[in-house]
Amino acid sequence: MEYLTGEDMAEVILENVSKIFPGNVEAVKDVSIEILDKEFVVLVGSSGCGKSTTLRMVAGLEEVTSGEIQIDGKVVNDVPPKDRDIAMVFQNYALYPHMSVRQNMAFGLKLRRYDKKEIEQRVQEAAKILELEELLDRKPKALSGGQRQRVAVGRAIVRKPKVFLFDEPLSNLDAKLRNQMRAELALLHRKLESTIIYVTHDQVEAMTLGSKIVVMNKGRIQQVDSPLSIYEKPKNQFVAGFIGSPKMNFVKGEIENGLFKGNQVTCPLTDDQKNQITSTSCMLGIRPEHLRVEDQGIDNGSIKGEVRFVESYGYETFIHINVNDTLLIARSESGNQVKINSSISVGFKPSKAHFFDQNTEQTLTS
Amino acid sequence: MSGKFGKLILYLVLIAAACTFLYPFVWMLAGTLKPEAEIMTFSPLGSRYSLDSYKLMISKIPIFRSLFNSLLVSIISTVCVLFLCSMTGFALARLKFKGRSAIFAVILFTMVLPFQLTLIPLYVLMVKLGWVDTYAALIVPYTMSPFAILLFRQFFMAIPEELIDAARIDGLSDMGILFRLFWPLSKPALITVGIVHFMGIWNEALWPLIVVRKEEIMTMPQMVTLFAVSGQAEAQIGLQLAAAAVMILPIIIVYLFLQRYFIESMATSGLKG
Ligand SMILES: Nc1ncnc2c1ncn2[C@@H]1O[C@H](COP(=O)(O)OP(=O)(O)OP(=O)(O)O)[C@@H](O)[C@H]1O
Ligand SMILES: [Mg+2]
Repeated sequence: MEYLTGEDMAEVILENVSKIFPGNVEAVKDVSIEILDKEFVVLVGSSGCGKSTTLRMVAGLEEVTSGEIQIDGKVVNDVPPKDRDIAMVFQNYALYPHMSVRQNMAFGLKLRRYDKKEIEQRVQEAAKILELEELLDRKPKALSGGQRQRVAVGRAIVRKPKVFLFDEPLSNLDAKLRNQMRAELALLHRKLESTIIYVTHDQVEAMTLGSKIVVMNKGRIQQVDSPLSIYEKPKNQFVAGFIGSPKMNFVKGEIENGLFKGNQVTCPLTDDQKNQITSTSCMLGIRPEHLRVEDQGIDNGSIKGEVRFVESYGYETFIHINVNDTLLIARSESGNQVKINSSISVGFKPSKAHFFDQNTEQTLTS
Repeated sequence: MSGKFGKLILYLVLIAAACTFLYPFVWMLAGTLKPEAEIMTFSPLGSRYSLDSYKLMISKIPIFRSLFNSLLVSIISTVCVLFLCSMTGFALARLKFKGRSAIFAVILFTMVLPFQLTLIPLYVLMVKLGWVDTYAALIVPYTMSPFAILLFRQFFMAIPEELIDAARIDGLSDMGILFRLFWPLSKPALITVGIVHFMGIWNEALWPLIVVRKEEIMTMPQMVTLFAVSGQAEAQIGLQLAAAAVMILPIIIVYLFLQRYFIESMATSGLKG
């Protein structure tokens, strides 16, 4: 590890960054993020929300319309990509087809006029870390998807950049390989101790890799937090619905005398919730994993409905419940015998419920 | 059975077609070797073969000097076309600037203008520049080709954007991206343009006839044409055929070497266009 660990500090700061493409397409709106040294930050959001554009602005591949980007304390708005001390891994790997694996990895260093010995040492070490030693003289065409991905990562790490940028690096791999590479990336981050900005639309990648998650929607940041806080305390309905699988259930309703009522769903509020929530109409959110047949009781929330269908994964089962023509999903441990079209009632702990404003969609608790 | 029979018919047709293309060529080569009196027969075979026609040609016209001129003019102009047109194609395919599509439209439009139309204005230009009877007059008008620009542009547009991004981050400039990334990836395009342009200018007889009168800088097609129409050949067909054979030889050699790429690029650029 002697050649590839960086010693520089590398903070990345985005301040009110916006990007408007020709044709008045507002891809990124007023984004501010502070990324600390050695932090693994994940930008997550649905397709077209401006994740790639944000990353490409950090890389310098896209000009910033307004706002400021700093890397390591320097404003880099007008610095070309090659001088920003960043390396990027692309979704389609973007390996140079006419070069061998070795040449692909060495190219950036060669252009920076490193001496041959240094280049060879770094390439060798990267190859060792990524288990590419046998493949160094092959062309990209002769590699599998996973191997190409490794080479793309290798090309980034030999540069010893201040910041690594990843744009959906795993989305072209099959599920099994994706899990494996995900674990390897987490390991790599610990080995290299470098700052990483990682773009994905996959919430599992976001939750497992990130030390900080930035949830984006329609060009705007929705929430910046640790994975756990994002899961437990979503700031608005979008974040609540985006993170978690299956999606959080939402039910419209009214609060009267500390009791939420709406669409066959009732839920007594906790004292904490009573103190914070002032409005009467609101949206209740409850995650499938907190909706359980076992959790019924007078102190708990309850839902009554009809079983529509049942998805069993072996280790867990999801029950889709029809409540007045809206489908809610409940989770249950496997082996639970439920009949389709039979009526069912499930319960949940009030403390697990989230409440959102019906208009602003912001959370009503904190 | 009918499958086999169909195949037989197909091959017969193909062979017939191939013969139609090849026969005049073989006939010409044979004609250079046969005695003068036997040339005008249908069969390429003769009673005896000799190099007399070639010897006579060499003694009558400065064929080697014109061979040198042709090579010089063709090579310089082909190299210029490869560099300049790939740069133009790159700009049109990959750089964003005002008026890009207008420029491309104008370039496309020049493709439909027949050369004869611009012949006179171009000649006047050469006279004004004082380039008549110089190599410049033979080379400069052929350093740009709309066909080459179009082909390069189409080829370059098919190269994935991410590759260019990666190259920029690795530290390549625009020129670096063109020559160190696009060129190696566009070998078939380079070879196609090279061959097509080289053949075009090599065979060009009309333009040299207009701007060059000095024998020392005449190209081969010009020399051969003059030789054939003026009295020098004394209506000796064998001589004229020998000159023509010498003229096409370099083209055939180049083509044989590069045909693999040539065919490949014709196939791929068609798909990508
Ligand atoms: N060069 C461009 N010109 C115009 N609009 C663009 C350009 N690039 C991106 N956009 C638009 O900007 C928005 C954000 O695009 P971006 O690529 O950042 O999305 P993304 O979050 O990365 O999505 P995905 O997950 O599909 O990659 C989209 O609406 C897209 O259409
Ligand atoms: Mg993207």
